[in-house]
Amino acid sequence: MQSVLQPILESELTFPVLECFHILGFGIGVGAIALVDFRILGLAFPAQKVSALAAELSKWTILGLVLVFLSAGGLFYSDPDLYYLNPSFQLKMTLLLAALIFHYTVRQPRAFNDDSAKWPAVVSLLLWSGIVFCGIFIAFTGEAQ
Amino acid sequence: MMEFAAWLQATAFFTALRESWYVYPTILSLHMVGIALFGGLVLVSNLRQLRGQPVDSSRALQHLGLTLMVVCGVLMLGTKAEEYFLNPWFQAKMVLLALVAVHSVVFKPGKLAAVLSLLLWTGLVICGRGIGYINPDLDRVHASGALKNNGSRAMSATYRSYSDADVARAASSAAVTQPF
Repeated sequence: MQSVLQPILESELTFPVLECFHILGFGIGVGAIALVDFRILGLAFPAQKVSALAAELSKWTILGLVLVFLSAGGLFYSDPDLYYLNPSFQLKMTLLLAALIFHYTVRQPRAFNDDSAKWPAVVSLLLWSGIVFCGIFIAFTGEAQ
Repeated sequence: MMEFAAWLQATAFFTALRESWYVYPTILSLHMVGIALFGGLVLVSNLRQLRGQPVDSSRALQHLGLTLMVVCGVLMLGTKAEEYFLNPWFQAKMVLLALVAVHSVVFKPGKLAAVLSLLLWTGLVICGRGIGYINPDLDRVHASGALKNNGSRAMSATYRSYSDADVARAASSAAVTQPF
């Protein structure tokens, strides 16, 4: 296995290509989540019910998040200690856990039921934006700096 | 063009942006949040076009996202204008951005337009990421006077990716040349 993976592991292109997938992945995944949030807030797709939009976009959320997680594994593997010890990375993982739990236990069930409360959309947007911020700050804090 | 770039990044405003450790990553994060929050909008409206469904998206939201990304992009450009102008990924990104503008004027909503739009936006993300991996060697460009007489040929020789040797060299000469 090692020998099969060797060219991939050693290529200078691996990291940037993984990053591209990571960015496209969160563009799709978090973008799909954000659209439902914007709909809940009354800012997009006024003609469609929240539940219909949430149902239409949930598979794109999953696809995007799968891309994000697969590429993330590769990026993390490039230097585990650097990430594990980085305060931005630690905060990012905390927020990610919170965001995933919040999404699937609070926001998503409420969206499917056309719940009119707006705060879950605000919390969702803040959590996912915070994760993106922490992702960028990994490169500017701790050992990586 | 390069004189403009040198002037732009030397202005007090962009110098202040460049010298603060957290302002640049904050702007970059907002740029990324723009991609995250509004990338979905591009995807949804294009996929709906592909399926012949009514698009029913929100123009206002699309404009908000685009404005956020462009403003942050311009702020980042200003901090390192010379480097960006010489960066082939940046140049490619600007070409794609121009094509996006052309696309929005020329094409009527339809399947071809939707496919092209998805390709263009994917290309923009890839070029955007590529920018960070090339550091035009400004010291050498300046020293050779390449910008004045023989721009394209001399410049292409100065493009190099970031290697360990570059890092070591930059570190050893940092005290003298004071890079950005």
